[in-house]
Amino acid sequence: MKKMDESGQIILIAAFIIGIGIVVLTVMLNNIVYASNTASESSIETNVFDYSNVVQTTTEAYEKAYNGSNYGNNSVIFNAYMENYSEKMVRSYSLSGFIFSLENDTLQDAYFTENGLADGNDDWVVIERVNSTDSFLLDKLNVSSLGNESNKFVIEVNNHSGSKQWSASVYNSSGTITISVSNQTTSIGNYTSASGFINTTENQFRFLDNTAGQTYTIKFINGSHSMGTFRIAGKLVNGNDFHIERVHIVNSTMKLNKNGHLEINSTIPITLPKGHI
Amino acid sequence: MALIIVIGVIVFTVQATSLTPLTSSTANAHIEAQLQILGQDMLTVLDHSKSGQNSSLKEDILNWDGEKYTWNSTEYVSQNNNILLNSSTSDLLKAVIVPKGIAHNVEFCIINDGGTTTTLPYIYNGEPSDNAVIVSRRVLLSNSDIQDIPLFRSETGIYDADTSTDFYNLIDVKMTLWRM
Repeated sequence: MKKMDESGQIILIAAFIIGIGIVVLTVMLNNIVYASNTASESSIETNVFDYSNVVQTTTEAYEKAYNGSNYGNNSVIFNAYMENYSEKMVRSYSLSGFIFSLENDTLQDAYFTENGLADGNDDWVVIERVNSTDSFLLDKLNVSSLGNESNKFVIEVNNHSGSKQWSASVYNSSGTITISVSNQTTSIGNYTSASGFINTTENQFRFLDNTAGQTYTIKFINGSHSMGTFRIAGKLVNGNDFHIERVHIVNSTMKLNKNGHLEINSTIPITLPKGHI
Repeated sequence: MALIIVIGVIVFTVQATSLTPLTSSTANAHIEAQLQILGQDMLTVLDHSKSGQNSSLKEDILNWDGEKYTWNSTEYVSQNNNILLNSSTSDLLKAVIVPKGIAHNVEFCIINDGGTTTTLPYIYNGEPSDNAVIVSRRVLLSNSDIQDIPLFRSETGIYDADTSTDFYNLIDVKMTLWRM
């Protein structure tokens, strides 16, 4: 009788061991599933998606604020637009658990570099695959920031195969803005601009007849050696119109913060009034 | 007797232990992640703008007549039997989401001055399930984007948040996707 009682206890202990074993196995299995699910969620590029959205809307907001405030001349209107935009973005992102902040930088005069800043890319392609240019203006050229002949700012037009069709070197010659124009082989002439305004498509520069019938690229070289504004408009080879205009830049800082971690913190120079093609 | 005790303990422990999202069901986190990526990609495509023009998503907001459209297995139809035409959003949904049998809503949300939100259904196919994913994209509207501001306001209910500047409002486009 005593022996049978002991057997029963062993069966009970065995049953409990099996039960605990199942619990342990299930917990381990759940952990594995949890880990794999966590890994799958990490593959979602939410930061990239939100970042592109923030940059796109902020750039558009600056362009609209700039155009609606007479090229930024009415700073009250400009700042009111950006305040409204910033406030709505803060409220909108707060519902998703993000803290949005926008540091509203002041309007700056631009260099002829790629991003408009003094330390931006010096030599860059402004537009490629151009079929025709309707308007190509440079204005507010600043003599004091313009380089001398050895540090000249150059506008170069190259054809499809990369050979030069037309170029203009702009430099400071004893306090005078001097433009030295040449085509593929010869010098067209030297000109001066007292006002700091150059209409490149004027007949005297012979831009249009040297680029007619070509597919060409417009390049700026040594952009950091000159400050000013520019506007280029025309048609691309595919028939689409293009229009690039830079009067000012604003070096804007955008931040998106979540759970105390800095998700996005980027400072981007935005070209105004119209940075895109 | 011993066998009954052992089986009883096994049944008890299996019932007591939670076996949660282990299977490839509609609740699977991988499917949720896929839906989220799909939604993000669609909104990115729709919100792409070229040559300084409005994005397709913005155009769809501007062309909206304020009606709530529902998929009837061939078209998006409103309660007044109007068919949703000239909408890039509906075209993309028809091409990508509908053939996969994924249920979807598209709503426009605006935030009021008091901090409350107003949700305006653009495409509505019912209440989403617990495992639905929401993808949202902010679209900026300016007065200069809108042809007839009083008409746009009366039709859609999207109001001008600042009448003193060109700023009109910020729209949070919410796309909700779920497996039925």
